[in-house]
Amino acid sequence: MSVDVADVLAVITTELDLDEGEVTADSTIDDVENWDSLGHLRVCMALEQRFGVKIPMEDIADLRSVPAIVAKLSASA
Amino acid sequence: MRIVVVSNTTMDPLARNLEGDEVVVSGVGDLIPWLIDPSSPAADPATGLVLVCPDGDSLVPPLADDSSLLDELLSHVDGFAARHPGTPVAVTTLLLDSRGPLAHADATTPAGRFAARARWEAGLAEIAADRPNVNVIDLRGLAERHGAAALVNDSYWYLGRIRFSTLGFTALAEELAVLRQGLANQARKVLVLDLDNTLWGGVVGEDGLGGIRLGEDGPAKCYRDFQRHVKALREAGTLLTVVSKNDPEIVDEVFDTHPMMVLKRDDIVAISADWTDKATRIATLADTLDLGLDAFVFIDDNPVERELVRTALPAVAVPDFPDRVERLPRWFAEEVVPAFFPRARVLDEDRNKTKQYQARQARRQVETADLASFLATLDIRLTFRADDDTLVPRVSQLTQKTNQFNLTTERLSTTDVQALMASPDHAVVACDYADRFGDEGTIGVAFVDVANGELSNLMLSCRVLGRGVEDALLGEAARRAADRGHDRLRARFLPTARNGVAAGFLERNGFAMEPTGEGLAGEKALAGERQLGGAGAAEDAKEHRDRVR
Repeated sequence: MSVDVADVLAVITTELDLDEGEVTADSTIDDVENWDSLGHLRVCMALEQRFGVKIPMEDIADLRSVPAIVAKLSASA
Repeated sequence: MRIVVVSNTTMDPLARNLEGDEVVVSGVGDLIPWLIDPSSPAADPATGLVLVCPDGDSLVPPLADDSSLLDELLSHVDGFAARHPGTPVAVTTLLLDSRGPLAHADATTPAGRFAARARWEAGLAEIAADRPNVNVIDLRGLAERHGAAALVNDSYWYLGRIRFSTLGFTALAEELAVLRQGLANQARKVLVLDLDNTLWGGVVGEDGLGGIRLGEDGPAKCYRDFQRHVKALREAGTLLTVVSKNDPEIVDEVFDTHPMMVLKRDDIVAISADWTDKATRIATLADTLDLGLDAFVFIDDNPVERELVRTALPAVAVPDFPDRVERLPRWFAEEVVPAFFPRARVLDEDRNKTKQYQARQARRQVETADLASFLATLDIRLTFRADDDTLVPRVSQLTQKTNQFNLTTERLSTTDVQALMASPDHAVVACDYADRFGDEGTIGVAFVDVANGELSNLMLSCRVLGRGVEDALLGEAARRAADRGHDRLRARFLPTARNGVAAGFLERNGFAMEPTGEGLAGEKALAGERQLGGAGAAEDAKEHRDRVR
């Protein structure tokens, strides 16, 4: 299943209390404000909920960018 | 509201479920420090609620040789609650792993999960019984409903000490919302019940007294269990009424003679059995009980009746009826009660509510055209108590629930009431009412700013209105101002959509009122108020009885 990038960005924007456009399709953890380690866990929890998938624990730390997240979700969903 | 979450796990994601609130979350090491430290966010007076949510498995590690940590935490919860009596504290029960490494030996191990759970829950119940500001959120009950595995997660626990799953946080937030509605006294007051296929199975007019399904055997027990839940609600202060399409004689026969009825005639404040439409009868009931339609919940198995009431009386809550009768008791406890009858505490006043309304109906029956002689036969006894802190919950409840006879409709939390009672500049005068039909308990309160000679507010429950009680309460308030040397008393009336019954009250009692931007304000001269009372409640009551006569 392919995952819509816009949906992923919407989840990240909500979870990290961002303004629209602060996170984009090629953002990485280091570019985005509030995307700290706790923020990352919240984002991943919310993504699991939104897309109905379970991300294995050991993969969570590797999802350091929007493209990585989209690829992972597309593979899992 | 500012909510402070104190936990030994990462509770930050809960903030997403409490969007309207300011949520402050402790770090995983702050569980006990935040309860002790007088400068912690939990201790901040701006805090509206403290949620204490300890992680059970961290406090009760498998094979731990003692559970003194639990006792220590209980004593810190108790100490915090004692030091901050105006701050509601919600403490969760423990969510423990459903199986421990000791297997069945857990039950007999002193430090096992059985012992820990029992210790924690008994300790919480004790604290909550002692401290009116402590409430218990039954996390274990949530786990039983949703399944413990669904409420927690493992990966985020190991990555960041986030114990709950998304569903877990949502369920906890919902439970907290129900508690907050209970704390704000938002329970509806009246449950309107249908009879056939609601309180019993079958149609009594067709099946006869012996043909209806109501008993302890087989499916007939669904209805009896449902009646038990309804009766418990009655004990907690909900008024029960019946609105049924039936011949009244048949309904009387069931209530008087059916041995399996849990609900007795005395439990019901009004039974309406005839063939007219139910919406009209519910509206009449609202008038009789002097309650707004938004205080009503209507339960009926018939979708046509439900739709009629929904359409005609949109303020009445009309939950859907379960499609399978075996769901009836659980549906009521799990869906109807939290949605419409949330309660944080049951006060003595609540327990007597049905009796009070029944006494009131008896009063109405003897009421004659001659009001004065009717009042004289009532043998009214009033007791005034000033700044009595045992009345904090009831006084706060009165400010929250009194919509009609209420001069300013200012709502006060228990914290606010406590502060006013403690202040030497304010007097909070509560009035208890009794007459020969029964004891109504605390039915009115006056708030007096005795430093400035001003009546801040005065309210009276509608059920005793029109018997001179409001005048006596005002007199008592005026006396408090006079005792502090004031020769005038100022007062305000702020009109709302519902307090029209209080309009003109101040004028009738000698206040010269002038319009202001928001309502009316004015004052009256105090003459002789000081001499009137001053010898205590008993004499006040006697003096008032004479005045009513």
